[in-house]
Amino acid sequence: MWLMIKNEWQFLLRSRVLQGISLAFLLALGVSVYLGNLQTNSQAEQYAAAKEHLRAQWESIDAMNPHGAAHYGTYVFKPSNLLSSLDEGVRSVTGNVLRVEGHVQNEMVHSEASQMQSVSKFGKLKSSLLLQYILPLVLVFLAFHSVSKEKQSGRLKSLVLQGAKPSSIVWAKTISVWLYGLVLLSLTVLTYALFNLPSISAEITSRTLLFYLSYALYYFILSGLTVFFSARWQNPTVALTAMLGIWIVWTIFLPNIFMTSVEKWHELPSREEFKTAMREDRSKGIDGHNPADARGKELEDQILKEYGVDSLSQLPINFDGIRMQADEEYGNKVWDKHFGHLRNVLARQKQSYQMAGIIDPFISLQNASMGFSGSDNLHHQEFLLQVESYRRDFIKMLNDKHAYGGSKTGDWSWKADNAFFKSVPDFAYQPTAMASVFPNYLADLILLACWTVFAAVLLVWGTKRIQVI
Amino acid sequence: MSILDIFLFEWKHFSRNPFKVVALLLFLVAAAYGLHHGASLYHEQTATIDVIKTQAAEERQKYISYFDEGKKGPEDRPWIDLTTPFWAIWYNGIYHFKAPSPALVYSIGQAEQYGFYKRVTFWASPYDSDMTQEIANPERLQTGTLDFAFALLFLLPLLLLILLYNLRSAEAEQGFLPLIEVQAISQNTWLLSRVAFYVALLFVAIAALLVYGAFLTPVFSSAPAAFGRMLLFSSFYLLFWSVIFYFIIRSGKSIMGNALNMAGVWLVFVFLIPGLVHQWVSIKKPANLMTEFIDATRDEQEKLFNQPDSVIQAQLDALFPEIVDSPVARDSTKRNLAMNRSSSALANELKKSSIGVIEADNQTKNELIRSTYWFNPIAFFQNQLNAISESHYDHYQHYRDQIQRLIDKQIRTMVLDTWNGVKVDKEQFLHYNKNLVP
Amino acid sequence: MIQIQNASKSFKNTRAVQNLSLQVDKGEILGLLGANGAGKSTCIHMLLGFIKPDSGSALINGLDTSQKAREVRKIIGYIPENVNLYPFLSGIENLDYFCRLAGLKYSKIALHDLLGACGLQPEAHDKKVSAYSKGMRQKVGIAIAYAKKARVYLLDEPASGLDPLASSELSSLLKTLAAEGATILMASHDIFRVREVCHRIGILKQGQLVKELRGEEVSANELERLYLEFMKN
Repeated sequence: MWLMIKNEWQFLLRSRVLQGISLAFLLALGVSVYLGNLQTNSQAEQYAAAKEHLRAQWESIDAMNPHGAAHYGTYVFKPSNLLSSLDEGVRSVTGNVLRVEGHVQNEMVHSEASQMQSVSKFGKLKSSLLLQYILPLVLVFLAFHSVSKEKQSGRLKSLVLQGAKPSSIVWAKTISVWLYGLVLLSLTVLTYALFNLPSISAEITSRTLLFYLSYALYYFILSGLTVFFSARWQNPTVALTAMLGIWIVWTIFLPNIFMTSVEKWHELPSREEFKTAMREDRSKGIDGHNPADARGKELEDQILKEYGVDSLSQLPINFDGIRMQADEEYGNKVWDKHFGHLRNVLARQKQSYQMAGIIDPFISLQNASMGFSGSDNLHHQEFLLQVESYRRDFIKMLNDKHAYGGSKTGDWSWKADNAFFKSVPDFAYQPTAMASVFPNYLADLILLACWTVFAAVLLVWGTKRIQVI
Repeated sequence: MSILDIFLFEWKHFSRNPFKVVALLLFLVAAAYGLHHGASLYHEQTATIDVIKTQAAEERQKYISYFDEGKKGPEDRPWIDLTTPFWAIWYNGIYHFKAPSPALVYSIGQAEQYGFYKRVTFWASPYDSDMTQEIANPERLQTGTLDFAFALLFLLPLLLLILLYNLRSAEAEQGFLPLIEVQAISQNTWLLSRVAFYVALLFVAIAALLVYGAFLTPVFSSAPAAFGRMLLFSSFYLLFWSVIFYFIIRSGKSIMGNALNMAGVWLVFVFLIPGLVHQWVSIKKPANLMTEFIDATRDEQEKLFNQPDSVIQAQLDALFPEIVDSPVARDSTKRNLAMNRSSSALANELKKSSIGVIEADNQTKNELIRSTYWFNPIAFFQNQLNAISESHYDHYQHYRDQIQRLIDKQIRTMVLDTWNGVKVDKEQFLHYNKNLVP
Repeated sequence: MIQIQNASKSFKNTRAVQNLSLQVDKGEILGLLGANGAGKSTCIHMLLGFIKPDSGSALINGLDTSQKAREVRKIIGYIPENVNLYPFLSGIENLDYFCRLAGLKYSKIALHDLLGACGLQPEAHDKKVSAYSKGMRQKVGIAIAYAKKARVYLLDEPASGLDPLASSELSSLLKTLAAEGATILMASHDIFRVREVCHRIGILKQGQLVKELRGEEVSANELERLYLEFMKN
């Protein structure tokens, strides 16, 4: 069989058309990795500059009331991700800026997509665009004629008479085409690694390997299926049209249909419904700004009792800070409930979408590619959770300063000094570790593996019935 | 052979090829699904707008009732005094909507990337966080929405590819092209007529889909021109691909070669060129992190309000020369409150200047994209369709401009009436509503 | 009448036809024998107007085929080695299609008659061509030419791959057509069939007509010996 694979490769290497296609593809891949990297770097620079600018503003606060500072707030920018130069995922639609302030949990705003008119429905020229959409087509074009050509020319008959097993011939064809895909995939990953050599860590390596594995499985599925059709049908045009049809349905048709459908199956609330529900729940809590609020009064009594005093003026602390923190904590519960519900709906949507991989392995590939590149919605949600966690610490620090920093209740003119503001830590994004989110992508990998086994079974079963003439 | 004869025979060719028939049916199903999706978004947005309008009207009514009851405002919030222009305008609950065009049924465009309702207040800005998109799954936004425009822009060329790829090349491959040539018909006429059959077939399919879509939303009654323009651009688009594919099949000699060339052109136009342009624009003009706007709404504003009163007053006087000799300006007991309430006008000016920078940046990106239209036809057609369905960037920009004008108008009214000491009664409250609600 | 006058044609470095002249008169069948690459198909393609000679001319009824291709094609019937037709159409539908391409409209009965006259069994007329044998397709091909009321027939290896019965039926049909006044040029490898059908026989070698003889003057064996002699030298 290796002899046949070698022979196939000799043919592939000598084919002028293939040389042209390979060269063009490699060029496009090189350009995509280079430009992807350029964009990631320029984003990283912009991110660092913006972050530094805002931090400098924060640290330059000479003196400010802590609650005033909570309203002054800060901003968190979504950092660029090294692997997003391979697959950008949801980055361009999710917004880049998140305001962190007291009382309210804001949302990411100012997405890249909203800052210009439509350009590309399928995203930027990232490696994933070429690896997901174009390379599979090249593999189909390489494989659809592979066995039928041998039949038509009579070579298959000769090969079988020479003692070659039809199954070996079919496997040799599949592996040759698959290897071609793997070579281009490897070159992409290697080019990417070369560009980012200093930044490569164990985490990035493991993610890249999983990224590689997903594509390798998908390419085998496509190569195997196409060779199978080529072996089953005498007419190569039928094999080509069938595979083109499958490619269209898998790549263009079903992802859109399923993605749109899962959003209908597991419906997200409209912004207005969501805001109204949040507002209603929030109104049941303490009004941090209103001293006359009944629930605030209860808390006041509790604190007075705790400190063994009769009035707020006797308190050694500033009750306003405590009330605002209590309000904040209630708000956090409301946020957890409503955003938790949103995240659950999104998770259910994702699970349903992943199941569509049963009939469309492209969906599994797309999920895995985005996931392993750390640019899917799950990673985005993880980022949002980190920001929210930071927001809570940030506001608590300010409220605590207001309460215990030395001011008395009702004194809104009291100001914390610059040393305090400098001591408030900046947001530091901890990239999500693959190990912690890997189970979310197991379904995609399993489905890709199942499809791989299915393609292999088809090849074994199909070639038993192969007609030599 | 008459063209009708060729059409009739081509119908046989088509109808007896299950692969082609299934491809057409799949396209029709996808396009109809897309139309329903567009219609559902139209109805959702319309319903949301109705709900907000109702809520705003109810809230307004609640505040009007205070006038009837002879109260200044809610008792639990004593600081609210509806007899002052500031609170009367604030509680008029003024919203501005971007009502969806019925043509949204055809192209969702960028409608899901922006907010479509906005509470307009003195402190509002068109770049507030509530102007962001509806809650949606970002992966769906990224994968793309299956609307009619998607079916038209991306699936139609594939359908055309499937319908046309073996015309002439099948005859050439099987060796009976000479037999056809010998029948004395011009090759061009023969091939053109056959291609024309499929173009006509798809034209009818598109027209039927557009009519179907027009029944899902009130296109004919509310936006009849959109229907005509959509049909026109769809036809241009169909013609664009037909011409490209015609030249490929005219010069191609093998089915595989044709399929390869047609798919190659499709890949280049659909994936490579737009992807490259998108990447290029992103490198040339990276996503704006809005630091100018952040600075304007935070630091600059902070600095502004920390200035001495005399400086703030001077700035207000420069902005509204009418208030210099106003009754409140002459009354030192009321001046400070009026100045505080008018401060939003200065903050608004700060925000406007930062927005100018951001929008100029966005316009540069749009110009960059437009400059690629001559080799990036899909982006051209995509944006044309978005423009027809009023879901193009420019329409949302126009919406933001309208919001800004409303903010300006609201602030101006509030400032002038505050400084002129206008006492708001029920009639004046309603007058604000009439004047300030778009 | 078919005429080729001092025609030459080269493809890259290969001279396919060299200074070739031949003539076929009305009611006559000329058979061209020759090995692969001898220039037989080039001759036919020149007469069909698909190839323009580098020098000399190819004429049908006095019309230069390279200049008046469309006019010439109106009176030509062409039968290639493999008559491939639209597989998803029936024999009658294929015939109708090709007739209409030529601007001819026949009734269904007339179409059946045409196929019948070319020897296709009536029960096959409405079957899809994908189920036809090569001989059956060849008969539809002849019917297409016949329906055009062609006065000139150009046949490129028409009997190749046909079974003896189909081949014999083809021979009879060609003789009938010639008797009705058709001019026929037939390129073939089949010495015996050419000897049986053709009034005159030409042997082509490296694009040149090296021998011309009358069919009745030679026996099949003699023709074979002559042909092999020319091929060897």
